[in-house]
Amino acid sequence: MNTRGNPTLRDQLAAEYALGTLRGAARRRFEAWTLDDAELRALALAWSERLVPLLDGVAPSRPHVRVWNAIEGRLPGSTSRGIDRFAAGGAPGWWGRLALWRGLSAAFAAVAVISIGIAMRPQAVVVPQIAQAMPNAIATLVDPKSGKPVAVVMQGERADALVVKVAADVDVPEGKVLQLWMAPSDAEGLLSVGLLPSTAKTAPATVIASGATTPSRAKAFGLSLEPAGGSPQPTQVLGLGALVRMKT
Amino acid sequence: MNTASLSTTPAAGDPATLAKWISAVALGDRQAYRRLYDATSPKLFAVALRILRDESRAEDVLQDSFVNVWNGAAGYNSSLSAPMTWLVTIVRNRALDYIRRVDRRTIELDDDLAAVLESDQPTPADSAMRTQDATALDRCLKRLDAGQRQAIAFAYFQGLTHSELAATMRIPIGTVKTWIRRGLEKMKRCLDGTVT
Repeated sequence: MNTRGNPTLRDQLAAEYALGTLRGAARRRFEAWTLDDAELRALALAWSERLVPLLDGVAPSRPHVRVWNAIEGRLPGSTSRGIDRFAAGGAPGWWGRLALWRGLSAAFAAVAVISIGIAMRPQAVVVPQIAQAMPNAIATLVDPKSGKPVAVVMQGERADALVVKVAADVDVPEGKVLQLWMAPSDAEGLLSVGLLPSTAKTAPATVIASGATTPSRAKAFGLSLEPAGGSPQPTQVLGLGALVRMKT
Repeated sequence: MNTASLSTTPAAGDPATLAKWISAVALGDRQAYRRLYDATSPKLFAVALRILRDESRAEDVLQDSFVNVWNGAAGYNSSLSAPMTWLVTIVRNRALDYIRRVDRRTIELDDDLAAVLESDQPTPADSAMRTQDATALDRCLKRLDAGQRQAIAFAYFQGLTHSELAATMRIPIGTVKTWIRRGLEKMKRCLDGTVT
Protein backbone atom coordinates (compact mmCIF):
# COMPACT_ATOMS: atom_id res chain seq x y z
CA MET A 1 0.00 0.00 0.00
CA ASN A 2 1.21 3.47 -0.79
CA THR A 3 0.46 5.85 2.05
CA ARG A 4 2.22 8.84 0.58
CA GLY A 5 -0.96 10.54 -0.56
CA ASN A 6 -2.61 10.32 2.84
CA PRO A 7 -0.85 12.47 5.45
CA THR A 8 -3.49 11.88 8.14
CA LEU A 9 -3.23 8.10 7.85
CA ARG A 10 0.57 8.29 7.83
CA ASP A 11 0.65 10.28 11.02
CA GLN A 12 -1.89 7.95 12.66
CA LEU A 13 0.15 4.89 11.74
CA ALA A 14 3.35 6.55 12.98
CA ALA A 15 1.63 7.46 16.25
CA GLU A 16 0.31 3.95 16.86
CA TYR A 17 3.66 2.49 15.90
CA ALA A 18 5.41 4.64 18.50
CA LEU A 19 2.68 3.97 21.05
CA GLY A 20 3.01 0.24 20.44
CA THR A 21 -0.60 -0.53 19.47
CA LEU A 22 0.38 -1.17 15.85
CA ARG A 23 1.24 -4.85 16.10
CA GLY A 24 1.98 -8.06 14.29
CA ALA A 25 2.07 -7.97 10.50
CA ALA A 26 0.96 -4.33 10.42
CA ARG A 27 3.93 -3.35 12.60
CA ARG A 28 6.40 -5.21 10.40
CA ARG A 29 4.85 -3.72 7.27
CA PHE A 30 5.20 -0.24 8.72
CA GLU A 31 8.85 -0.91 9.55
CA ALA A 32 9.45 -2.07 5.98
CA TRP A 33 7.89 1.14 4.63
CA THR A 34 10.11 3.31 6.80
CA LEU A 35 13.21 1.86 5.15
CA ASP A 36 12.47 3.65 1.90
CA ASP A 37 10.46 6.50 3.30
CA ALA A 38 12.52 8.93 5.34
CA GLU A 39 9.53 11.15 6.00
CA LEU A 40 7.54 8.29 7.50
CA ARG A 41 10.56 7.38 9.61
CA ALA A 42 10.72 10.98 10.82
CA LEU A 43 7.01 10.94 11.72
CA ALA A 44 7.49 7.82 13.87
CA LEU A 45 10.55 9.36 15.55
CA ALA A 46 8.63 12.55 16.26
CA TRP A 47 5.93 10.49 17.96
CA SER A 48 8.52 8.61 20.01
CA GLU A 49 9.90 11.95 21.14
CA ARG A 50 6.43 13.12 22.12
CA LEU A 51 5.65 9.99 24.12
CA VAL A 52 9.00 9.29 25.77
CA PRO A 53 8.55 11.87 28.58
CA LEU A 54 5.78 9.57 29.87
CA LEU A 55 8.60 7.41 31.16
CA ASP A 56 9.98 10.17 33.36
CA GLY A 57 7.68 8.92 36.07
CA VAL A 58 8.93 5.33 35.84
CA ALA A 59 11.22 4.55 38.75
CA PRO A 60 14.57 3.16 37.58
CA SER A 61 15.33 -0.40 38.57
CA ARG A 62 18.94 -1.54 38.47
CA PRO A 63 19.21 -4.87 36.64
CA HIS A 64 21.10 -7.81 38.14
CA VAL A 65 24.84 -7.91 37.38
CA ARG A 66 24.31 -11.12 35.38
CA VAL A 67 22.72 -9.04 32.60
CA TRP A 68 25.92 -7.06 32.03
CA ASN A 69 27.97 -10.24 32.23
CA ALA A 70 25.79 -11.83 29.57
CA ILE A 71 26.04 -8.77 27.34
CA GLU A 72 29.81 -8.69 27.69
CA GLY A 73 29.94 -12.36 26.81
CA ARG A 74 28.16 -11.64 23.53
CA LEU A 75 30.59 -8.94 22.40
CA PRO A 76 33.52 -9.80 20.15
CA GLY A 77 36.14 -11.70 22.12
CA SER A 78 39.06 -9.41 21.54
CA THR A 79 39.38 -6.15 23.41
CA SER A 80 41.97 -4.70 21.07
CA ARG A 81 41.05 -2.17 18.45
CA GLY A 82 41.28 -2.21 14.71
CA ILE A 83 42.13 -5.14 12.51
CA ASP A 84 42.51 -7.61 15.38
CA ARG A 85 38.82 -7.31 16.00
CA PHE A 86 38.05 -8.59 12.54
CA ALA A 87 40.34 -11.51 13.08
CA ALA A 88 38.34 -12.27 16.21
CA GLY A 89 35.25 -12.47 14.02
CA GLY A 90 33.38 -9.93 16.05
CA ALA A 91 31.00 -7.19 15.13
CA PRO A 92 32.55 -3.86 16.05
CA GLY A 93 30.82 -0.60 15.20
CA TRP A 94 30.29 0.11 11.54
CA TRP A 95 32.45 3.18 11.56
CA GLY A 96 35.28 1.34 13.21
CA ARG A 97 35.22 -1.15 10.40
CA LEU A 98 34.74 1.44 7.70
CA ALA A 99 37.75 3.39 8.86
CA LEU A 100 39.94 0.57 7.61
CA TRP A 101 38.65 0.93 4.08
CA ARG A 102 38.60 4.68 3.93
CA GLY A 103 42.16 5.04 2.84
CA LEU A 104 41.63 3.22 -0.43
CA SER A 105 43.05 5.11 -3.38
CA ALA A 106 41.18 5.53 -6.61
CA ALA A 107 43.72 3.28 -8.30
CA PHE A 108 43.13 0.53 -5.80
CA ALA A 109 39.37 0.91 -6.25
CA ALA A 110 39.69 0.57 -9.99
CA VAL A 111 41.75 -2.58 -9.63
CA ALA A 112 39.23 -3.99 -7.18
CA VAL A 113 36.39 -3.28 -9.59
CA ILE A 114 38.12 -5.13 -12.36
CA SER A 115 38.86 -8.08 -10.11
CA ILE A 116 35.32 -8.24 -8.75
CA GLY A 117 33.95 -7.85 -12.26
CA ILE A 118 35.88 -10.90 -13.35
CA ALA A 119 35.00 -12.80 -10.24
CA MET A 120 31.35 -11.95 -10.62
CA ARG A 121 30.91 -12.66 -14.31
CA PRO A 122 33.61 -14.92 -15.65
CA GLN A 123 32.48 -14.38 -19.26
CA ALA A 124 32.72 -10.59 -19.33
CA VAL A 125 32.99 -7.50 -17.22
CA VAL A 126 29.65 -5.79 -17.69
CA VAL A 127 29.80 -2.05 -17.49
CA PRO A 128 26.36 -0.83 -16.55
CA GLN A 129 24.97 1.52 -19.15
CA ILE A 130 23.86 4.07 -16.67
CA ALA A 131 27.33 4.44 -15.23
CA GLN A 132 28.90 4.66 -18.69
CA ALA A 133 32.46 3.56 -19.19
CA MET A 134 33.85 5.81 -16.50
CA PRO A 135 31.80 6.12 -13.36
CA ASN A 136 32.08 9.33 -11.32
CA ALA A 137 32.54 7.43 -8.12
CA ILE A 138 33.05 3.85 -7.04
CA ALA A 139 32.81 2.01 -3.77
CA THR A 140 34.09 -1.53 -3.54
CA LEU A 141 32.34 -3.28 -0.69
CA VAL A 142 34.61 -5.75 1.02
CA ASP A 143 33.88 -8.39 3.64
CA PRO A 144 35.60 -6.92 6.71
CA LYS A 145 36.61 -10.36 7.92
CA SER A 146 37.95 -12.04 4.80
CA GLY A 147 38.82 -8.96 2.75
CA LYS A 148 36.93 -10.52 -0.16
CA PRO A 149 35.01 -8.11 -2.42
CA VAL A 150 31.25 -8.69 -2.19
CA ALA A 151 29.80 -5.85 -4.26
CA VAL A 152 30.53 -2.73 -6.26
CA VAL A 153 28.50 0.47 -6.00
CA MET A 154 28.95 2.97 -8.80
CA GLN A 155 27.64 6.42 -9.45
CA GLY A 156 27.45 7.57 -13.05
CA GLU A 157 26.19 10.63 -14.85
CA ARG A 158 22.81 10.62 -13.17
CA ALA A 159 23.23 12.26 -9.80
CA ASP A 160 20.43 10.28 -8.15
CA ALA A 161 21.24 6.84 -9.50
CA LEU A 162 23.47 4.15 -8.09
CA VAL A 163 24.39 1.01 -9.91
CA VAL A 164 24.98 -1.97 -7.68
CA LYS A 165 26.44 -5.30 -8.64
CA VAL A 166 26.64 -8.02 -6.03
CA ALA A 167 29.17 -10.83 -6.36
CA ALA A 168 27.58 -14.02 -7.65
CA ASP A 169 28.88 -16.09 -4.75
CA VAL A 170 27.17 -14.00 -2.08
CA ASP A 171 24.75 -16.36 -0.38
CA VAL A 172 21.22 -15.02 0.13
CA PRO A 173 19.24 -17.66 2.05
CA GLU A 174 15.50 -18.15 1.51
CA GLY A 175 13.51 -15.42 3.26
CA LYS A 176 16.44 -13.01 3.42
CA VAL A 177 17.13 -9.88 1.39
CA LEU A 178 20.10 -7.68 0.61
CA GLN A 179 19.92 -4.15 1.95
CA LEU A 180 22.12 -1.26 0.88
CA TRP A 181 23.28 1.36 3.40
CA MET A 182 24.93 4.70 3.01
CA ALA A 183 27.08 6.70 5.41
CA PRO A 184 26.95 10.44 4.73
CA SER A 185 28.89 11.54 7.82
CA ASP A 186 30.08 10.26 11.16
CA ALA A 187 27.32 12.14 12.94
CA GLU A 188 24.49 10.70 10.89
CA GLY A 189 25.64 7.10 10.98
CA LEU A 190 24.22 4.67 8.44
CA LEU A 191 21.06 5.34 6.50
CA SER A 192 19.12 2.73 4.58
CA VAL A 193 19.26 3.34 0.83
CA GLY A 194 16.90 0.47 0.13
CA LEU A 195 16.54 -3.21 -0.59
CA LEU A 196 18.30 -4.70 -3.60
CA PRO A 197 16.39 -6.82 -6.08
CA SER A 198 17.33 -10.49 -6.06
CA THR A 199 18.66 -10.00 -9.60
CA ALA A 200 21.53 -7.80 -8.33
CA LYS A 201 23.69 -10.92 -8.22
CA THR A 202 23.30 -11.67 -11.90
CA ALA A 203 23.02 -8.20 -13.46
CA PRO A 204 23.79 -4.70 -12.18
CA ALA A 205 20.77 -3.18 -10.43
CA THR A 206 19.97 0.50 -10.55
CA VAL A 207 18.89 2.12 -7.31
CA ILE A 208 17.42 5.60 -7.38
CA ALA A 209 18.07 7.46 -4.15
CA SER A 210 17.12 10.96 -3.14
CA GLY A 211 16.71 13.09 -0.03
CA ALA A 212 18.98 12.14 2.85
CA THR A 213 20.46 9.25 0.91
CA THR A 214 21.22 11.14 -2.30
CA PRO A 215 24.49 9.69 -3.70
CA SER A 216 26.30 13.03 -3.61
CA ARG A 217 26.23 12.91 0.20
CA ALA A 218 27.73 9.43 0.43
CA LYS A 219 31.12 8.82 1.97
CA ALA A 220 30.78 5.07 2.19
CA PHE A 221 28.37 2.24 1.49
CA GLY A 222 27.49 -0.98 3.26
CA LEU A 223 25.68 -4.15 2.29
CA SER A 224 23.85 -6.32 4.78
CA LEU A 225 21.71 -9.43 4.91
CA GLU A 226 18.30 -8.79 6.47
CA PRO A 227 15.00 -10.55 7.06
CA ALA A 228 12.38 -10.10 4.31
CA GLY A 229 11.18 -6.52 4.29
CA GLY A 230 14.54 -5.23 5.51
CA SER A 231 15.56 -3.77 8.87
CA PRO A 232 15.77 -0.30 10.36
CA GLN A 233 19.35 -1.07 11.35
CA PRO A 234 21.87 -3.43 9.79
CA THR A 235 21.96 -6.86 11.41
CA GLN A 236 24.35 -9.00 9.38
CA VAL A 237 27.02 -6.99 7.62
CA LEU A 238 28.35 -8.51 4.43
CA GLY A 239 30.57 -5.74 3.13
CA LEU A 240 31.70 -2.16 3.58
CA GLY A 241 33.53 0.27 1.37
CA ALA A 242 34.48 3.91 1.14
CA LEU A 243 33.29 5.83 -1.90
CA VAL A 244 36.15 6.94 -4.08
CA ARG A 245 35.41 9.86 -6.40
CA MET A 246 37.08 9.43 -9.76
CA LYS A 247 36.26 12.85 -11.15
CA THR A 248 35.99 16.14 -9.37
CA MET B 1 33.76 6.87 35.96
CA ASN B 2 33.72 6.20 39.68
CA THR B 3 30.78 5.09 41.76
CA ALA B 4 30.16 8.54 43.18
CA SER B 5 29.67 10.16 39.80
CA LEU B 6 27.55 7.23 38.67
CA SER B 7 25.14 7.72 41.50
CA THR B 8 24.73 11.35 40.54
CA THR B 9 23.96 10.52 36.91
CA PRO B 10 20.43 11.73 36.34
CA ALA B 11 17.91 8.97 35.68
CA ALA B 12 17.48 9.94 32.05
CA GLY B 13 21.13 10.92 31.61
CA ASP B 14 22.54 14.07 30.12
CA PRO B 15 21.65 13.87 26.41
CA ALA B 16 24.92 15.36 25.15
CA THR B 17 26.98 12.89 27.20
CA LEU B 18 24.83 9.95 26.15
CA ALA B 19 25.14 10.96 22.49
CA LYS B 20 28.92 11.21 22.86
CA TRP B 21 29.06 7.72 24.36
CA ILE B 22 26.90 6.29 21.58
CA SER B 23 29.28 7.73 18.95
CA ALA B 24 32.21 6.22 20.80
CA VAL B 25 30.41 2.85 20.94
CA ALA B 26 30.01 3.04 17.16
CA LEU B 27 33.80 3.07 16.98
CA GLY B 28 34.06 0.06 19.26
CA ASP B 29 34.81 1.86 22.54
CA ARG B 30 33.98 -0.58 25.32
CA GLN B 31 34.51 1.87 28.13
CA ALA B 32 31.93 4.23 26.65
CA TYR B 33 29.64 1.23 26.21
CA ARG B 34 29.94 0.36 29.89
CA ARG B 35 29.23 3.96 30.89
CA LEU B 36 26.22 4.06 28.63
CA TYR B 37 24.97 0.84 30.19
CA ASP B 38 25.51 2.06 33.74
CA ALA B 39 23.79 5.35 33.08
CA THR B 40 20.77 4.05 31.19
CA SER B 41 20.14 0.41 32.08
CA PRO B 42 18.13 1.07 35.28
CA LYS B 43 15.63 3.17 33.35
CA LEU B 44 15.58 0.84 30.35
CA PHE B 45 15.19 -2.22 32.57
CA ALA B 46 12.20 -0.58 34.26
CA VAL B 47 10.67 0.11 30.83
CA ALA B 48 11.11 -3.54 29.79
CA LEU B 49 9.77 -4.73 33.12
CA ARG B 50 6.60 -2.66 32.75
CA ILE B 51 5.85 -4.26 29.41
CA LEU B 52 6.93 -7.83 30.16
CA ARG B 53 6.01 -8.01 33.85
CA ASP B 54 8.58 -10.70 34.39
CA GLU B 55 12.10 -10.16 35.64
CA SER B 56 13.87 -12.82 33.60
CA ARG B 57 12.11 -11.84 30.36
CA ALA B 58 12.98 -8.20 30.99
CA GLU B 59 16.61 -9.25 31.53
CA ASP B 60 16.60 -11.10 28.20
CA VAL B 61 15.18 -8.09 26.41
CA LEU B 62 17.66 -5.71 28.05
CA GLN B 63 20.52 -7.99 27.06
CA ASP B 64 19.39 -8.25 23.43
CA SER B 65 18.76 -4.52 23.30
CA PHE B 66 22.27 -3.66 24.44
CA VAL B 67 23.79 -6.07 21.94
CA ASN B 68 21.71 -4.20 19.33
CA VAL B 69 23.08 -0.93 20.66
CA TRP B 70 26.64 -2.21 20.21
CA ASN B 71 25.98 -3.36 16.67
CA GLY B 72 23.75 -0.48 15.63
CA ALA B 73 25.36 2.52 17.34
CA ALA B 74 26.63 3.80 14.00
CA GLY B 75 23.02 4.02 12.86
CA TYR B 76 22.16 6.48 15.60
CA ASN B 77 21.47 9.95 14.27
CA SER B 78 21.58 12.59 16.98
CA SER B 79 19.89 15.17 14.78
CA LEU B 80 16.80 12.97 14.48
CA SER B 81 16.24 11.75 18.02
CA ALA B 82 17.46 12.24 21.55
CA PRO B 83 19.73 9.41 22.78
CA MET B 84 17.27 8.24 25.41
CA THR B 85 14.46 8.13 22.85
CA TRP B 86 16.63 6.00 20.58
CA LEU B 87 17.49 3.62 23.42
CA VAL B 88 13.92 3.42 24.71
CA THR B 89 12.69 2.70 21.19
CA ILE B 90 15.12 -0.21 20.85
CA VAL B 91 14.03 -1.66 24.20
CA ARG B 92 10.31 -1.17 23.56
CA ASN B 93 10.53 -2.70 20.09
CA ARG B 94 12.34 -5.74 21.47
CA ALA B 95 9.89 -6.06 24.33
CA LEU B 96 6.89 -5.81 22.00
CA ASP B 97 8.52 -8.40 19.75
CA TYR B 98 9.04 -10.65 22.74
CA ILE B 99 5.45 -10.60 23.97
CA ARG B 100 4.27 -11.45 20.49
CA ARG B 101 5.70 -14.88 21.21
CA VAL B 102 4.52 -15.14 24.79
CA ASP B 103 1.06 -15.99 26.03
CA ARG B 104 -0.44 -13.15 28.01
CA ARG B 105 -3.85 -14.32 29.09
CA THR B 106 -4.01 -12.31 32.24
CA ILE B 107 -3.13 -8.68 32.28
CA GLU B 108 -3.47 -6.74 35.43
CA LEU B 109 -3.35 -3.03 35.24
CA ASP B 110 -0.61 -1.48 37.20
CA ASP B 111 -2.19 0.03 40.30
CA ASP B 112 0.59 2.52 40.91
CA LEU B 113 0.28 3.72 37.37
CA ALA B 114 -3.47 4.03 37.63
CA ALA B 115 -3.05 6.10 40.79
CA VAL B 116 -0.59 8.43 39.09
CA LEU B 117 -2.87 8.84 36.11
CA GLU B 118 -5.90 9.62 38.18
CA SER B 119 -4.19 12.11 40.42
CA ASP B 120 -3.78 15.66 39.25
CA GLN B 121 -0.43 16.02 40.95
CA PRO B 122 2.84 14.42 39.94
CA THR B 123 4.07 12.02 42.58
CA PRO B 124 6.66 13.56 44.92
CA ALA B 125 9.35 11.14 43.75
CA ASP B 126 8.86 12.23 40.14
CA SER B 127 8.60 15.94 40.53
CA ALA B 128 12.26 16.50 41.38
CA MET B 129 13.48 15.01 38.13
CA ARG B 130 10.64 15.96 35.88
CA THR B 131 11.83 17.54 32.71
CA GLN B 132 10.18 20.38 30.85
CA ASP B 133 9.04 17.92 28.21
CA ALA B 134 7.42 15.76 30.83
CA THR B 135 5.62 18.73 32.34
CA ALA B 136 4.26 19.70 28.92
CA LEU B 137 3.19 16.13 28.18
CA ASP B 138 1.60 15.87 31.59
CA ARG B 139 -0.38 19.03 31.00
CA CYS B 140 -1.54 17.81 27.59
CA LEU B 141 -2.48 14.38 28.91
CA LYS B 142 -4.62 16.00 31.58
CA ARG B 143 -6.63 17.70 28.86
CA LEU B 144 -7.72 14.35 27.47
CA ASP B 145 -10.81 12.50 28.60
CA ALA B 146 -10.02 9.98 31.32
CA GLY B 147 -10.63 7.04 28.97
CA GLN B 148 -8.38 8.42 26.25
CA ARG B 149 -5.64 9.14 28.77
CA GLN B 150 -5.81 5.70 30.34
CA ALA B 151 -5.87 3.84 27.04
CA ILE B 152 -2.81 5.73 25.77
CA ALA B 153 -0.86 5.40 29.00
CA PHE B 154 -1.59 1.70 29.44
CA ALA B 155 -0.72 0.98 25.83
CA TYR B 156 2.58 2.81 26.15
CA PHE B 157 3.63 1.65 29.62
CA GLN B 158 2.47 -1.91 29.46
CA GLY B 159 2.55 -2.68 25.77
CA LEU B 160 -1.12 -3.63 25.59
CA THR B 161 -2.76 -4.23 22.21
CA HIS B 162 -6.14 -2.80 21.26
CA SER B 163 -7.86 -6.04 22.19
CA GLU B 164 -5.97 -6.41 25.45
CA LEU B 165 -6.94 -2.86 26.34
CA ALA B 166 -10.57 -3.62 25.49
CA ALA B 167 -10.59 -6.73 27.67
CA THR B 168 -8.77 -5.03 30.53
CA MET B 169 -10.77 -1.82 30.49
CA ARG B 170 -13.99 -3.72 29.74
CA ILE B 171 -14.98 -1.60 26.78
CA PRO B 172 -15.58 -2.49 23.12
CA ILE B 173 -12.47 -2.63 20.92
CA GLY B 174 -13.96 -0.02 18.58
CA THR B 175 -14.14 2.40 21.50
CA VAL B 176 -10.51 1.70 22.42
CA LYS B 177 -9.38 2.46 18.88
CA THR B 178 -11.40 5.69 18.77
CA TRP B 179 -10.14 6.82 22.17
CA ILE B 180 -6.56 6.22 21.21
CA ARG B 181 -6.81 7.85 17.82
CA ARG B 182 -8.63 10.94 19.11
CA GLY B 183 -6.48 11.10 22.21
CA LEU B 184 -3.26 11.05 20.19
CA GLU B 185 -4.55 13.72 17.81
CA LYS B 186 -5.53 15.96 20.70
CA MET B 187 -2.22 15.35 22.43
CA LYS B 188 -0.26 16.26 19.32
CA ARG B 189 -2.18 19.50 18.84
CA CYS B 190 -1.60 20.39 22.48
CA LEU B 191 2.13 19.51 22.45
CA ASP B 192 2.91 21.12 19.12
CA GLY B 193 1.18 24.28 20.27
CA THR B 194 3.31 24.32 23.40
CA VAL B 195 5.96 27.00 23.55
CA THR B 196 8.63 26.08 26.08
